Amino acid sequence: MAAAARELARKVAASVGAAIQGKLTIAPNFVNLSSLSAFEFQKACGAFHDEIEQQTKTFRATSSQEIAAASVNVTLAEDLHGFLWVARVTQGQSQQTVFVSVARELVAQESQPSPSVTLQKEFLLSQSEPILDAGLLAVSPGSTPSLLVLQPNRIALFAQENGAWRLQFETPIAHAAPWPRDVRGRLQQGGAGEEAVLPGVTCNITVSSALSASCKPGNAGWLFSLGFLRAFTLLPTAAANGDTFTFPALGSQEFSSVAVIAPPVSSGASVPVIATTSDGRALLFEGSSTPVTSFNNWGSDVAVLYAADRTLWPLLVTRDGDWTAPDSVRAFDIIDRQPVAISGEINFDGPITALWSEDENTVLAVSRNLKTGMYEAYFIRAVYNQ
Amino acid sequence: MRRTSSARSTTSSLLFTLLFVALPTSAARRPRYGGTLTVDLQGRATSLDPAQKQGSVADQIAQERLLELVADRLVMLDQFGRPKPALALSWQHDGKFTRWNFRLRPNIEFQDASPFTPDSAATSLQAMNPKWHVGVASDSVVVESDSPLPDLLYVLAESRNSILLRKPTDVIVGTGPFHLTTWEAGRHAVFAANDDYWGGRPFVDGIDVQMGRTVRERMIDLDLGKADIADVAPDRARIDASRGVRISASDPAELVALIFSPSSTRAEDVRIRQALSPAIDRPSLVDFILQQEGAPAGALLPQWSSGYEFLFSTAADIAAARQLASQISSGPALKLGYDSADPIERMIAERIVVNAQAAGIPISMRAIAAGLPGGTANRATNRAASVPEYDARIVRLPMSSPAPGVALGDFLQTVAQLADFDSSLTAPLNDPANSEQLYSRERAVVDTYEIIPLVYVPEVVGLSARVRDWIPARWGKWHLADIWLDGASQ
Repeated sequence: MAAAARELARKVAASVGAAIQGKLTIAPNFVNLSSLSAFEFQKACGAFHDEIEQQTKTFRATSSQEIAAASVNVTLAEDLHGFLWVARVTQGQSQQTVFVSVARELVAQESQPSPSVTLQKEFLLSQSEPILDAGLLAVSPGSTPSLLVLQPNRIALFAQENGAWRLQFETPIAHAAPWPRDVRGRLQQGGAGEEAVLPGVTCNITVSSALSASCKPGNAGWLFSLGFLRAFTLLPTAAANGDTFTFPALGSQEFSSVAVIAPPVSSGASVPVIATTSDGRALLFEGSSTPVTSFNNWGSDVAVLYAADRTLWPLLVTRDGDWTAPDSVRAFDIIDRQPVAISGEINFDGPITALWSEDENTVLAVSRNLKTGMYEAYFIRAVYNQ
Repeated sequence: MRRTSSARSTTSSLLFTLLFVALPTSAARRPRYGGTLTVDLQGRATSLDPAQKQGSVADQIAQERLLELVADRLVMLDQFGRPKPALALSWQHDGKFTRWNFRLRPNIEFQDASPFTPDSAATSLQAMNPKWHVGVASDSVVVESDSPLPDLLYVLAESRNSILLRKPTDVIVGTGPFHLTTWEAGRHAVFAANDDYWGGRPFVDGIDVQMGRTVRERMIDLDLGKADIADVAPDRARIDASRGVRISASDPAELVALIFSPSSTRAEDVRIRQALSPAIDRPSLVDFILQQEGAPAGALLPQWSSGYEFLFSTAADIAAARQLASQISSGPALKLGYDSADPIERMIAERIVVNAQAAGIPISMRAIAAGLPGGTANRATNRAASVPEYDARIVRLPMSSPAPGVALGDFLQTVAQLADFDSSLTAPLNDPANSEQLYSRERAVVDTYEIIPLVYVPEVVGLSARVRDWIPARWGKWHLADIWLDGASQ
C-alpha cells in the first residue's frame, strides 16, 4: 500500500510539474473511504508525504513567475478489484484527477493478523483456490521443509523464499466423478509414503526433481458420501506415547469431524472420541458405539492438539454461524464429560473450511477470508501456561 | 521423504481458570443435503433463453436468475468479481486482446445427455454475439474480434453468454447445477438437482419457483413458510426487517436515472437539463422513498464498483437550480414520464416534481408503458416526430456486471437508445480496467446532462430461517446451488 501511495505522489508531482516548475509545497488532505485500518492508512499517507517532498525538491524554477499554490485531496477508496488511490489536484482554476489501483490480494498479504497469545496461529499462505489440507514435508533428510498443499484438483509444493511460500511444483489430481460440492481431503502418511485422500480417490505422491501424483479410485480408511464422513480412521499417531489403542465403533451415523481427545490409559485400551454431526451436535464416545453424552450447538470442525506428555489433549472447536460469518477457534477440555474452555478465541476473517490435526501440537486451519475471498492456511499451536 | 514434526511443546499440568462456557447458540455446521427450496419472484420470465428479451427489469432479473440454475458460462465470477474457470478450464489471449483461446473442461454433458463440445460452445456464443468470430480449435473455443476485447472474461460471465443447446421446440438445455422439470411460462418453474454436476451436486434436491408474485403475496408466503426466498421491494426492507423477516440486501445493483428524450424540443436547451440536476434532493429520495435502502447517485457506476463515484456531487443546490431556471424562456412544462406499473418510479417522479417546482422549473408527471424503447436516439433526427410522449423519463438500469468497464459499456449502450449522445461517448474504451479512462468517460457523459443519475438501489430478498449459507455476490447474484436447508431430511 505504501508503494502505491508513493506512486500516487509521483503522479501528483508529475501533473503539477508538467504545468509549472519551481519550488512548490503541496499540502495534501487525506480521506479514507476504504476498509483499510486507520493504522495502515496512516502509514501509507506517511509514504505519500515523504515521496511528495522528495519529488518536489527536484522542481527547479526556470523563471521568476509566481507559482500558484496547489492543493491535493487524496482519497483511498475501493473498487471491485481492490483499493483505489484518487488524488484531486487543484491549482488555480485547473483541476486534475489521478488514480493508482492496488489489487486487494496484495493488501491482504501485507496485513496478515498477528498471532494470539494462548493459541498461536502462524500464517502459511493465501490463495484463491480452496485449500483442503497442507503440511510440512522434508523432501530429503535434513533439508528445509517444503509445504505440501492439497487442493481439489491439484497438489502443490511450495518452498520458502524470503520468508514466504513460493510455488515450486504442482501436479493435477485425476478423478472421474465430480467432487462433492463440500469436497474435503487429507494429506497423510501412507504405506508407500505421502498420500492424498479425497472422496473416492487416493493419490500416492512422489517428490524428487518434480512433483507427481499417481491417483487411483478407492480410499483406505476413508469413506465419503456427498461431503460427509461415514467413518474416519485418521488418528493422532498412537506412537505419541508408544501405546496402541482401539478406536470405538461409531455406528453408521454420518459425522462431519472426529477427534480422539486423550491417549489410551493403557496399551490396547479404547480412546475417548468426539464426533460432530451435521445438525450441530457433538457426541462423546468412550469405547462403545453409543455416545455417553452429547453437546449441542457446536461447530462442525474439531481437531485435537495431541502430545505424548499430556494426559488430556486440547480439543480445538470452531464457532457458531454458517459459512457467511467470520469464525474462530477455541480450545476445550472435556472434564467430567463437560466441555471446559481452556483458551481464548483466535479469530479468522471468514469461516473455517478445514481443521486437521497435523502433527504433535500442530493443527492446520483453513479459512475463507470473507473480505478477500482468498483461502488462508494457518498452523495453530498451543503455548501451555505453566 | 517424510513429514516433519514440529518441536515438542514443553508442558506441564494444566493450570486453567476452569470456565464453563455456554457454547454457541447456533452451530457452525457443514452443509447438508436435501429438501426443496421454494422461491417467490416478482418478475415473470416468459422464456429462459436470453435471446428472448423480457418486458420489464423485474422480468429480466427473473430470467437471469432462472437461467443460471440450468446453464453455465465459460467463465464465472467469484464473490469478489474475480474471473474463475467454469466450462473453460483456462484461457489465453494475444497482446491486442483481439483473439482469445478458451480450453474447455472435458467430459461434460448437457442435461439431455448430449456432449458439451467446442462446437456447441461456439454455436451458443456466436448466436448471442454476432460481431464476434467464434471458432473451434481442438479442445478449445476461439473468440476473435475486430476490436479489442480486454474485458472479455467479464462479458463471458454474464448470464446472456450462458452456454445453451437451443432445441427446435424452443426448449433450451444447459450444463448447470439444476435441470428444469416443470415450466409454466411467467408463472411457475420447478428444477431438480443435477446429480452429476461437474461442480458438485447442489445441496438442495430441487427448487420450486413461483413468478409474478405481488409484494403482499411474497410477504405472506415468507411469513407462512411457503417461501424460503422472496424478492423484497427496497422500500419494504426495513419495515419487513422490523417485523422479524430475515432480510438480505446487496450492494447497489441498479441505477435509477432520469433520461431526456431525443424527441423533446423542450430539453434541447441544456440549461433546463442543467437546472433540473441540482434541483433534485437525492438524499431525500433515499431516505423517504427507498426507506434508506439505497444511496444517492452522482454517476452511473456505484462507488463499490468504480471506486470514484464520490468525485461526483449528489448534493442539492436549489439556489443554483433557480438561477439557471430563471435564464430559461418560459414554455410548456416538462413532461416527466414514469412506468405506470412501478410504484417506486411513481414516487420518485412525484418527489422530483416537488423539487423542480421549488426551483422554478415547470414540470408535470406522465404515466407511460413499461419497458425500454429500442432504436436510435438523436435529437436532430427525432425533431420531426410528433409531440413526444415525455420530455424526460425515469429509467431503471440494472448492472449487467460488477466489472466497471463492462457495466459502464452496457449502461451506455442502453442509454444510447434513449438519449441524444455523441457516438464518441458510447464507443468502447481502450482500457476498460483503467480508472482514469472510466472516470473521464463517465464525467463526459454526466456533464452532457442528457442523463441525470438519481439513486442506486440494492437487490433485496427475504429469507426463511432454514436457509443456510446464503452468500449472494455483492452485486446481488444468487448462488442457489451452494445454499442448504436446515432441518431438511437427507
